[in-house]
Amino acid sequence: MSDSTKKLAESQTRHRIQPPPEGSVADLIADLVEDLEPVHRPGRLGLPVTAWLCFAAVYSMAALAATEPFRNGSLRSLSAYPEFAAETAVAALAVGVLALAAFLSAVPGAAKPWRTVSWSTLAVGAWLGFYVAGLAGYPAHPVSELGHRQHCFLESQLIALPNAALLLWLTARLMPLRPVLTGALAGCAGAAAPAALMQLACMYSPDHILIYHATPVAITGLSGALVAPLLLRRRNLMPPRRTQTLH
Amino acid sequence: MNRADALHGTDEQRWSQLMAAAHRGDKRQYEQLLRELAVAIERYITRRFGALAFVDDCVQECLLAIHAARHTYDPRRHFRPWVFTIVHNKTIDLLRRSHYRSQSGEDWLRLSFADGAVGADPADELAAGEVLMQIDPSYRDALTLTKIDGYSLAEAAARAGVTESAMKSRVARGIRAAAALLDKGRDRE
Repeated sequence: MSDSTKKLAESQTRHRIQPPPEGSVADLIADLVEDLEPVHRPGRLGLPVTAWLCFAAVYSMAALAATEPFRNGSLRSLSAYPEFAAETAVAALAVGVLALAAFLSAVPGAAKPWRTVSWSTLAVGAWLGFYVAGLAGYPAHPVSELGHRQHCFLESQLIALPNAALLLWLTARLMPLRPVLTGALAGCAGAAAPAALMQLACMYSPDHILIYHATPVAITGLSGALVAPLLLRRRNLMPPRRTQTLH
Repeated sequence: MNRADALHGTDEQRWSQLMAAAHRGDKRQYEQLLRELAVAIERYITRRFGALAFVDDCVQECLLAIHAARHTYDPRRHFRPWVFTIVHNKTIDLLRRSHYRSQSGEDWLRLSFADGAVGADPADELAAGEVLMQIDPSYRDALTLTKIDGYSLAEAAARAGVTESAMKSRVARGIRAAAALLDKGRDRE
């Protein structure tokens, strides 16, 4: 008998010699077993993350285009200024990292909270770092008022809400044990999508972007952290006792 | 790898396989998994909080949560971090909410303990829990009075000879300290 087989047999014996659960626990197990249904694609986050990113991109773009046209020549700028293309790519990456972190924070044991926070901070920091460099005299794109929108702050904020709401709804279907963290990440991700697109839709000026496009990310993140504990409590409303039926 | 690590490894493998079978709808394997987890969770909590009525309710809450969250377990990931994150969270939740004596009268003390030792004093039983044993004595007393003995904040404050707000603060800090210690312990699970 190999070592691993011996260990497995030992583990099975160890569990068999434990007294079986009695009384209400045994009844609860019987109920839960009866309630069991097959799970398709358990634990896979790829599909919901991709679906949310697609929704956020298409919806934010459509909402921005519906209010005012995008800045003239903004797409051409991507090929004309490699730093600007890199900045936009890092912004898109930050949105993806925030969304993934929100999902991971809603799966028990999938990632340590400090790790999701660190990765998210790093991604957002790298993105905002471009604007700080711009303030220091190294903008990724020539500063101009071309494409200036009157209400870009409000637009970013309002467009963020459905994004964040959808993300919260999707994470509520998992098991968000740290709703404040999940809410904060969902809020940030929801607002980061329009903020990233704003640099193609609105004027390019690092100080304007930091004040009017990036601030909604922090505001929505904070709102998400406050609201999520109330919205994500669904899983905690499971019947606490055997006396309450599951069906 | 020491013996405990090796045994954890085999549990990990078995439980992961049993949950994968449960995902396919195998009720027999799922029942086996829940039975084994009930024993493991009871041991986990007893080792940390002592053998009180708290344990039985917590086992039930954990099993319900595991059942509700089973679709979030990815068989490609480790099982123990997944399951013990749920157990840790539910234990702290229950500690925040509960006033046991008021719910279950004098039956709060279990008659059978893992170690076979039965004590009459709640404080003795709490001392069996390694988490509570490591907490500041004033916080431990606050938790014992409010969460185990089931006294109201005002009654507990009067017994401890402190103000109600001080007692409230001690309870909150005690729970935070317990959560932090459980977090540390979970990393070893």
